[in-house]
Amino acid sequence: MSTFFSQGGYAFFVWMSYGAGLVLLLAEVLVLRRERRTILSRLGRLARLRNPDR
Amino acid sequence: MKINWFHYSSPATFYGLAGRLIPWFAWIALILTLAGLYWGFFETPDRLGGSNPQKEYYRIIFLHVSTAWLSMWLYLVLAAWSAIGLVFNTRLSYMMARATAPTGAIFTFIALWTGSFWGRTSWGTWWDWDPRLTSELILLFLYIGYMALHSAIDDPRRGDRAAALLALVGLVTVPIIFWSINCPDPNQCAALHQRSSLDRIDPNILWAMLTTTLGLWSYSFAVILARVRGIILKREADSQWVRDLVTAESRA
Repeated sequence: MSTFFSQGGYAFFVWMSYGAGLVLLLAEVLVLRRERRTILSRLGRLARLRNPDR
Repeated sequence: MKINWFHYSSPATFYGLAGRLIPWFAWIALILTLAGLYWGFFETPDRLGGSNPQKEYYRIIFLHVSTAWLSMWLYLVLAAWSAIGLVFNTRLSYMMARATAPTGAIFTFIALWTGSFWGRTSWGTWWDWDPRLTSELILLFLYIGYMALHSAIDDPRRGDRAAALLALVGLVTVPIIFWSINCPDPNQCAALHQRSSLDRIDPNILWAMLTTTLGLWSYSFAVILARVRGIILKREADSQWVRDLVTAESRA
């Protein structure tokens, strides 16, 4: 396992590459999820403003 | 079976279809990417000989090449949706173009970033104004320019058309990136970036790379569809179907 993580002494280069890729793709997914919640709650507020009785 | 494609060009219909497709693409993405990387890290030689000897750092290839391919491919997709939008004036095409750009920009950035770490180990430099690196950097600026222009124009329909035009003009970069490694005379154009050698590559490396690429391609489908659903909701906020949908969601 430690040979896997050390990558023949090039761990810094290999894991900086894959780490950045993982962080960016995860961030994209999380941002999209948060955006969806924001849009739905804003539209929900607008709907309640339009029909306060519902 | 005859499929009426224009049926799905209505944002209301496409919203539901996209929502059903996203989990499939997400699972395929996860499985293929992990399988490709497992293959690439555990079933390949640690060192490569030949005219371009490489040590363990060559494993950056699986992320580098797949994101670089997809950065160019997604630009073609962006330009295609823009062209369809300009020709047929279909709202959904513009929304798809708008949803494609951020993912394309992220893949372009990852390709440049991983290339930099590979370059440091393989060539001894983080960056060089090599034709391939420079033209890929211009691609990143084009993606950013597309998004910036779109959001700088208040009227979304005008923004759609202006940004679509920019996307089509920027299309000239893609063949330049593609052929930028085929420098005919090394004395006239110094190219550090190695040429494509898909025909001579170890089959394990090749197939691991292709599997990872398919996985990330599937990922791009999932996130682009998720993003377009958000864009549809924002743009169609005043329509009856979105109002009904929001009422249904708030009751649930």
